[in-house]
Amino acid sequence: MRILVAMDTNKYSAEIISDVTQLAANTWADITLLAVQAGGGNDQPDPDLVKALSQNQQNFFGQFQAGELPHGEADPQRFNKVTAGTWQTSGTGRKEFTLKIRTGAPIKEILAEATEQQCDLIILGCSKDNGCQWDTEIDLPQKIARDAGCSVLVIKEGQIPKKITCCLDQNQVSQDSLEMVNQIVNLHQADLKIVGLTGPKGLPGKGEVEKKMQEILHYYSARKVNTLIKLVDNEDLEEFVERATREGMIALWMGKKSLLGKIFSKDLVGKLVATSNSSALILR
Amino acid sequence: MIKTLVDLNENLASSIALRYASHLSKLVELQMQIIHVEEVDHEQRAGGSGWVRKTWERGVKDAGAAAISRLLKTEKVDCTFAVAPRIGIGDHDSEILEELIVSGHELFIEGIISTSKIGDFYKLITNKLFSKAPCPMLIVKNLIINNKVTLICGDGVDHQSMITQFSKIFRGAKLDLELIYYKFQESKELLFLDKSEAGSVLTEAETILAAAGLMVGNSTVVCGSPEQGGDYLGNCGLVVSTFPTRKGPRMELLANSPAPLLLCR
Amino acid sequence: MSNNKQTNILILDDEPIVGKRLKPSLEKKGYLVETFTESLEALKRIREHNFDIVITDLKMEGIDGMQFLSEVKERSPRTEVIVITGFATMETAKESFQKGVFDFLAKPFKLGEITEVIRKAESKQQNI
Repeated sequence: MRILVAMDTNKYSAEIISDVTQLAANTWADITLLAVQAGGGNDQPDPDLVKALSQNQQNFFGQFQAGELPHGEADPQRFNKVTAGTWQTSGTGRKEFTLKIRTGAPIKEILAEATEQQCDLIILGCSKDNGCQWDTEIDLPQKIARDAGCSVLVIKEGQIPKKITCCLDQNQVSQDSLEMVNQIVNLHQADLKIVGLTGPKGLPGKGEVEKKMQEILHYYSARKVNTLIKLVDNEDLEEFVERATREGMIALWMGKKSLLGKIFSKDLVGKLVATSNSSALILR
Repeated sequence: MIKTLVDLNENLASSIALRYASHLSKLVELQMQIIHVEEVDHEQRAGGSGWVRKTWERGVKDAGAAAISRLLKTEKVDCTFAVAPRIGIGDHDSEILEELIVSGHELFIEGIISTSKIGDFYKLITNKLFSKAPCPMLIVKNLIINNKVTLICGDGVDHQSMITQFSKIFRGAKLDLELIYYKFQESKELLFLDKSEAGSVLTEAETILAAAGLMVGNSTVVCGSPEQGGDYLGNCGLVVSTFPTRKGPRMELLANSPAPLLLCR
Repeated sequence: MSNNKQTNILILDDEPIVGKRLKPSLEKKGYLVETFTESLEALKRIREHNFDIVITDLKMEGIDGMQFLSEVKERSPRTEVIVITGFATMETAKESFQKGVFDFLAKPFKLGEITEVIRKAESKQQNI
């Protein structure tokens, strides 16, 4: 598994490190901590970002004893230029651990890095009190969640979910996304709730969604994950989501056939990420 | 052996009910009979009583039997059923009610997926089948497999009747029993109060259970919204209650609970 | 992969999709691949035949992947085992390495990731 952790210099970015470390320790994923600096002819990495990445790296490795993680620490004094405006430094270990700085518009650069690396997951933090706020671009988490080609985990400051509610309105659920849910359930030792969204004619897709819910339920019960199921009418979705986000993390399968965007709001993902009180996992 | 009728279809709800029934059969001795009703309306029904009608009925029954056979094959549950599934044709509730009464079943099990509409639950428990059923009715909303059983007590609840019916089924089973007295209250989080807050209700229920040979592990008053209460019940392997007679907080609590629910008269 | 002899790989995962996805891609690269979804059948097969590389899930019905891994290493210490798991924990990763696993990949992973690990396992075997 390959995880891209997008960070800035704020507290909410620093706070996601403990989740990232635990996930890295569980999965032995390849990890890149990425920061993006504004353009403007800089030929050096921004010292504030170098300092922030260095501190986050220290916190990452500080949670475990030496040798417990399969990653090796990178030397923050030795950022090598990869291309114009891009620098990185990597540790040596069984699994990759890289600190990287890119130059440009943060959303574009984060999405580009995720595509280049063929990441399985992008993780980013955001503040709880004022919706999702990144220094430079207020709606960055929403846009990353909406536009990324891979799954995205937006972690709200100070939230540890006890329950993960997954909303399903289509039968196109990839094996990769189920596995991603597994890892997040495992990370928080959370309970899982699978919600099927129904319209006036019941579940969409002529029984296909119900069949998929059945498959998912069997998949998780075979793996001894406590899984509850529920049907939620489209009319009640906003209220349901609001309640679910008070209790824990909400996860949405955003396949091409998903109707969620149409029935919930013009920009479901954006709204969810911006307004929910808890972390959000967008599955692809 | 508790004579048990299990209503099955080839769907998600039945998949859950079947797996739960299998779990239950390991806790208590059940003599299980499957029933499946092929619902047909008047226009679909073949007329008369001769060969055409019989052939049509045989075709419908064969299709029903095949669906149940596929379900059993897919689920691979580890339990036995007394005889071949009974396949009925016609109105679902009437067919099942007739079978419950005629064959003297002591427990009925059906899978129902819970919905966000409280009204759906109210409609279910007041329909013809549930309101006239002669035995306790077990609604399996989710596959929650553990031995925690919570009995919902309250003012106006006939505890003697509920506990008698419950203990008849679960006598001898190793259970982690809890009694709760639910009070509606708007609060940020669920509150747990001493059992004395329920007056003598909980202690009386404890006495009835003790007389039936069942010991209670925890007895408490729970205050909060029906949603909060429902979430609390989410870790119960079984919730036991009498039929709520009106749309009140207890009915809403049961509607919001994701746990399998045993409704007693 | 080795020019002298085709590398043979056994894949064990109770999710049929995993074998279905990996088998054709690895065969295209010249590997000999056998896939199993039942751990007991896979166990029977490794008792008959020594594989160069074994790729196994950890959480399965029947015997679990950890037992399977132990049995493989016991029978054929030169076989490199790659663990793939959907329920990764630090403990399972540690235990896998204590039992001599070559690498540990959490699901989901890209095909490129696993082929890279297979390539490394092959070159380790060639250098012994």
